[in-house]
Amino acid sequence: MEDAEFRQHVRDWLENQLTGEFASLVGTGGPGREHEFVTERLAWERRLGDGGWIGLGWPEADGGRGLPWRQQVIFYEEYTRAGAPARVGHMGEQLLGPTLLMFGTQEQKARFLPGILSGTQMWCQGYSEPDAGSDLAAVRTRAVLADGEWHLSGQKIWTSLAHVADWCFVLARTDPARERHQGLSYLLVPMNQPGVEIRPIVQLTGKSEFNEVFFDDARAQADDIVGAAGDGWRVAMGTLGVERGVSTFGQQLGFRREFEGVLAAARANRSIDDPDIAARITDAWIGLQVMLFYAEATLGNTAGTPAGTAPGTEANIAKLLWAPWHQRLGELAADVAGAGVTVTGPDYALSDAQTLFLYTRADTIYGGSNEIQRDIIAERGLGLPRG
Amino acid sequence: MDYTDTAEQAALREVVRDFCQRHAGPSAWPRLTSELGLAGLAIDESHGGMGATLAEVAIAVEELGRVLLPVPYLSTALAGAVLSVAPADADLLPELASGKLTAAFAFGDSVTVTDGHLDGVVTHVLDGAEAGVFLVSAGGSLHAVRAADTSVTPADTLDLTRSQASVEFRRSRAVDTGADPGHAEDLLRVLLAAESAAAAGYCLEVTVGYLKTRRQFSRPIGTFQALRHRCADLTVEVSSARATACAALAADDVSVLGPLAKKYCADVFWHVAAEMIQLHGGIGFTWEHQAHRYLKRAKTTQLLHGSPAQLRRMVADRAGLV
Amino acid sequence: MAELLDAEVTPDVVRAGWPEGDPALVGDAWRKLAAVGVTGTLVPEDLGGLGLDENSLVPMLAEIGRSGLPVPAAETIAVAAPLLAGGHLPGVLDGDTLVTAQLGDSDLVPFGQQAALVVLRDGGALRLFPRDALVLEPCVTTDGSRGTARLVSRPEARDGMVLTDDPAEVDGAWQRGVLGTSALLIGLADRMLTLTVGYVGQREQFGRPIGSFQAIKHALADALVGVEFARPMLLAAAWAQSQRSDEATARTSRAQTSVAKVLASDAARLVARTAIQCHGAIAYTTEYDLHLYAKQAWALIPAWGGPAWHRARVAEFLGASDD
Repeated sequence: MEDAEFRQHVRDWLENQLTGEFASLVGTGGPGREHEFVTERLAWERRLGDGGWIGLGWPEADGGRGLPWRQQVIFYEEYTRAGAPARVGHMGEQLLGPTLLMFGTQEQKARFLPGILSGTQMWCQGYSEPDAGSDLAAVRTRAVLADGEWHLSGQKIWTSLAHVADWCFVLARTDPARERHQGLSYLLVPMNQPGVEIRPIVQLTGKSEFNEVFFDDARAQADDIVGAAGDGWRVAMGTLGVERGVSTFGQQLGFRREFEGVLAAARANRSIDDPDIAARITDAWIGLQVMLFYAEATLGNTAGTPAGTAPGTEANIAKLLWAPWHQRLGELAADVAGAGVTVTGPDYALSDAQTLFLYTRADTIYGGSNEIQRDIIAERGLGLPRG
Repeated sequence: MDYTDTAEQAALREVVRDFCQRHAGPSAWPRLTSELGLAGLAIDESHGGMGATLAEVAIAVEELGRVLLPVPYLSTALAGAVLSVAPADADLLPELASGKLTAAFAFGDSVTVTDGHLDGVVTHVLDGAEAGVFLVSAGGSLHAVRAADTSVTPADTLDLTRSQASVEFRRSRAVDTGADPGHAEDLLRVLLAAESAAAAGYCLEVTVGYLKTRRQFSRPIGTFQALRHRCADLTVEVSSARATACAALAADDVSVLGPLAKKYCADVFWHVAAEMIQLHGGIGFTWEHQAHRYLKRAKTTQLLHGSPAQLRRMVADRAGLV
Repeated sequence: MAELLDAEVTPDVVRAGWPEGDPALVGDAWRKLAAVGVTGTLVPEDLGGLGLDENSLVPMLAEIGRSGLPVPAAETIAVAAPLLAGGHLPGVLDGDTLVTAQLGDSDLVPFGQQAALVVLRDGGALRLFPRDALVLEPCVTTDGSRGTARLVSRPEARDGMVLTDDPAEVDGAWQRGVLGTSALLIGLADRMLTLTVGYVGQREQFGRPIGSFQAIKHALADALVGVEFARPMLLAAAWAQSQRSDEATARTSRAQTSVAKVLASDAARLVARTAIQCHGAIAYTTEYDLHLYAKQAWALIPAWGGPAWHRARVAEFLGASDD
């Protein structure tokens, strides 16, 4: 299908579907708002699955549609334009799925990919631990193979959507004799079992989107390991850099929405008459254009990267562009709102400006902190020596 | 390395880069124009040019910008591009294409036109000291005036790699080219953006190279995290500046992107040049080291054809934000 | 004072100021401070105060800011107490009667949910209103401990008692409020910095304390510089306020006070951002204490005039002094 026709097709489908029970989901979910309408958004995932809209870029042989990245971008753009709800199946579609495509056995692909594609199986990511944040190789959760099962003990943290996930892909230490990046394995663990306990973490927005997950003799089948035992680091890192390119465009559109909200607020309360506010608004708009130019300029470099090759630093640069930009936008939103930003709705209900202001504090921390991004760019991009 | 080079563009870039490694100083101009024909890149072949586009001019501007080659290439090549599509006669084109005539642009509201003659003074005309022809904004159109019909006072510039002049027009004979001066200035801004992004990239390369070799505290100073991180931040700026300049070059309408790209890229160039000095430590402050030349080119570029604040207001206005 | 605050105002006491907490804990701490004379810093000795001047405001309120005690410290100590006499003063001095103020155009009254007395500006006068003379609607606030209430309508002037209608005194009260808030901000910045330095000294990643990474060190250094840069300006503003004797000196102290508020706000903002960044994800939770102080800082930045407003006042002052 030609791009223009495809775009119309996506638009029509979304327009038809975001009606009835799903009409109220428009604009819901997303960073800072993951607590919204979870049950309904799970149903939406299934609707997307029914429509064949999950795994657009996956090979057809694996159940995907093998669409070129241009059309994947179109889908993300139209999705955001329609205000369709933020996804709850993104862990599966964007992380676990591609990992299986790269490293999984045929049997694993046959077992797990259909659930992701149909939007019926949800995943969460078990990587970070209290003592393994930026230093992920310090992972300590143990997994021991006994009686045909992996027995897991340990704790994961910052696990989004753990409470709705059916499965968790867990980075665990399977060889206690090895240290750091060695001796780790990538295990697939069912969440609904006695040995798994989930505890929500409240964040400074007053909401809870992250959880602690405790494994106390939790079980995984012996075969539910991606890659060989001890190969976990390579498998886990394999996908972290590659996928970023395509979904960036949806993110960009989301940013534009937020910017327009701030601009509208500044016009409405005339804070835009203040030259400082006007200057910051203009700078924010310029930053938006620059990020888009950068995404367009580098898309080919990330989306087309062959599996297994080390990604370039485009994704790292992109994060260092958008995270500080987004934080500045949040600060601008707060300043535009003025003293009113100190007051919330009932039960700490936050306005858009407040959410933007508070939530963006995390942008420079999650998904690789600014400091880590800089280390990667310095080392891998510029070849500067390690300390 | 660059986002949109076709195979031919990459070849052109290599040729120019190689040239810049072998020739320095103003005396490079005759070779640049006669051997490589670069002045006429965007002039059509029937007038002695190469029949290429502004994108190719930008490549040459970028490469010359990396080494701050002290020749009036940017203004001359742009003049060729602008006049090639202008309604009026093409008299000047062969002279510009050959490099025998160099050009400079004079924008603003200070010059009036009456019966084909200009009156007024324009200051800070880039590449103005050696220009043989001026393209002047007057009465809403761009007019061509031979230098001989004007009074040119070269300035002593902070940036010794690019001349400036004050140009006085007194009943100076002018030919109305019919070209839109606003559009021409936006194109100039696009080229300045491309030049700035490329020069910033060069500054970063030099700086990273220095950090890898310079030792202090018994180790290469590039191992210190603070410096690594600053270089990473500069990389983000340079990469995004490059992408922005590319976008401006590819755009049909440069009324917003011209000012936007110039503001963004000139600000980046300034920041990178300043960091270059900082990260080089003491030697970065010497005349001998090349860093100061980039600092001065960056500051000059930042302040002419719209200061950052002016361009920000222009962008806000033209993009309908305020 | 620092020891007293460290002992009495623990993070649990700060948390107690939030909706689910026990306000009695906050009240007890406040009364203990009052017992050593804090509330009467600017009140003349013969009225039961310490008889000090504006120069004492900065260190006093910086300490209270550092503790994070959720009370209208600037409003009580800097603004209201020095204007009270007889009647309400003993209760305020003891810490039993909470008094707050809103001298600007905003209808948001900090601690309006708890305060028994509210100072409002009415034309050229400052008036004291008991809370039942006002229609106050409680707000839920980002800083949950701020207890803000919205003034639904301006009260009848006669329901309030005139504290002063002398323009110079009204202006002085305003300046003290701004300065007091600036001092609270510096104190909060200190607290967040101390917390962070402590954290990065013991949190290990990559086999070493993260504070040993130069990027962290430099970020904290920059944050500290911001605070140290602001501090002398607060002291200078306090001195200028204490020397006010005519319109010219009052104009100067007003400008310096504006600069102090700008610098304190910018410093606190940078420290909050740096503190959160250096703590990593844990700073993003409500379990960890940092958000308590960050939110107080974020609420104080727009209070008593935000940075943009004060910058404009300074710009005006600079323009005016040219002629």
